[in-house]
Amino acid sequence: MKEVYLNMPQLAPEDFLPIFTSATLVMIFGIIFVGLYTFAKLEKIPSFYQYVGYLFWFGCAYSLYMLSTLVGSGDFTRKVLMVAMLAYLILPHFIYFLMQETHEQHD
Amino acid sequence: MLNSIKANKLQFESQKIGMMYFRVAIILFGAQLLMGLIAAIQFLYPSFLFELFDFSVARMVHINALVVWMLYAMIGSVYYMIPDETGREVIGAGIAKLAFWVLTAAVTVVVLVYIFVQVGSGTEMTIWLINEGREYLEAPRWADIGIVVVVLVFYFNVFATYLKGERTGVMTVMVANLFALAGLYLCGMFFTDNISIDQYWWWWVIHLWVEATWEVFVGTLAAYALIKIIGAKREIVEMWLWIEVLMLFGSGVLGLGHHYFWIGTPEYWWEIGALFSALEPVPLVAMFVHVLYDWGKEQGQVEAEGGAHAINNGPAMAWIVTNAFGNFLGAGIWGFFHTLPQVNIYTHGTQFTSAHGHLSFFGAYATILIGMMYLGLQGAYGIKNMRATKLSKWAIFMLVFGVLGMAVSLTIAGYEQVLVERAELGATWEAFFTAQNLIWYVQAQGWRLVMGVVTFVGFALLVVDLLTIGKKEAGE
Repeated sequence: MKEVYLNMPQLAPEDFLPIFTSATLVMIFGIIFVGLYTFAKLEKIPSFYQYVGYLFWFGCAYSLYMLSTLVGSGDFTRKVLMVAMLAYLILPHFIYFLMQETHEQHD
Repeated sequence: MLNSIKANKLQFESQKIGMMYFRVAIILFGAQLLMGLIAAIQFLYPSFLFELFDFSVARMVHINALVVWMLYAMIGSVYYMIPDETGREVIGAGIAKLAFWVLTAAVTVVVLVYIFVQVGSGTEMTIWLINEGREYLEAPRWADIGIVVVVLVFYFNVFATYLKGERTGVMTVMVANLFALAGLYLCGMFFTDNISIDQYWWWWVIHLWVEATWEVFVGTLAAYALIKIIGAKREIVEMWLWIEVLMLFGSGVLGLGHHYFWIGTPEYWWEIGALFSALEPVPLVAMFVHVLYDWGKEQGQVEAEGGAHAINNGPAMAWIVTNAFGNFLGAGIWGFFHTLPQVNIYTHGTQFTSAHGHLSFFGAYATILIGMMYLGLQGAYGIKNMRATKLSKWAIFMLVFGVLGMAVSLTIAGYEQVLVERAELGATWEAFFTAQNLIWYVQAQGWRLVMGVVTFVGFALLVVDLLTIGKKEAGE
């Protein structure tokens, strides 16, 4: 019978906590970024929080980089992930633009 | 809620049918929690009800009751929103009522067979009469076919009413999405000899329901509810809805790949599953922003006009905001934990999966469906402004605290399994039992049981609130 094996990097037990932590931080930083951006744009909080939001985006991107390194992703995958993070940076701006346009048309 | 039968101010039969579905949904929700408690006790005391009501049976009823109560509440929500969206009565109210009673009778028989007969001899008759044996979709074949018939009646009603009535964007998405949702059920109705191929199709039902069509369903309900509760502008809400549909299907359909990591499907699913699963939280972020944005905008406008607040149904809005957070937390964060194949190979089938399942089903689906029930009550009692009672607040707090507590406990148990059972001992049969007896695992299961009881108390408070809030608020 043909031997079956998985071509996948083994993870060290001590890496699991940083992996789960960085995965959580990707999500938490990610939502704080869009949350601050949204509230600042809605003028529910001072506008400088929008820039604080960008710091959280940076934290999000760094956490994702950490995660991809810890799980042994290849160079190409890491680059794709960073491009995805750039798209994530643009996303709330784009959605807000659409909202504004629709609101203006509606009003 | 029961009094709403007598004091019914709903003008449309369709909405009354919606309330009928809600009532059965809440009973099945209770059954689900009860079965969950039994299973949680059996984790700690394996001899509890041994050979009388085994863990496998309790777990099966627990999960099936979950799926069925949510489908009931979904059908109820659609019947409830039809007149508001299409501006007319449902086409076949009589046949819809008949279908409701047929479905309810069938579900009762299936549950009784699950509880009292439990298993068959493993022949063709077992598949037809007792249990199909396919995880999460265990309904025997006669019930399977019956479900298809009932759903066809339901879909005919929705589609025909939509064609004859006003065709809003919200209803267009609902009609198209329901077609996919109903059609996908067929993928779980046949067997193949090859287990990998069988699982391949079975995941179409499970994944493409909960991570695609159900999520779009939630987006549609949220859109409807925001228009109804805070008076959000339809153009804005519908534009958001289309963006969400694009993002949800764009990531969710191929996110299916994360279920194909280890079932014998080709390795290219690793890359596809990893990429699209990683994108799956993005629409959840969008949905979260959507609720906050619309709420903020409408609230700002009401305040500018000298009003106090924009919300006309406090408890429903509370549940919808909980949905926005819960969906992101349960499906997003807890899903992202273990969606990459490098991590999933260790976490697969551990209590991590269970933690994710508990929090995401509650956060993404239970919350908004409970919100729809409060909307239904508001309509049934003709209440203009429905405020949250003390019971409403306690119910939401206890349910959220309980489910979150269960998810955290199960995550701790799962983490211990990942480290000991999978990483250190190599996922052998012996490793499994070693991990099950370690102190962290046992204590985490103990806390899960405690939090399960908290959840059940929250549910009891919710039921009392649903039964009394309408009369109380209408009186005031």
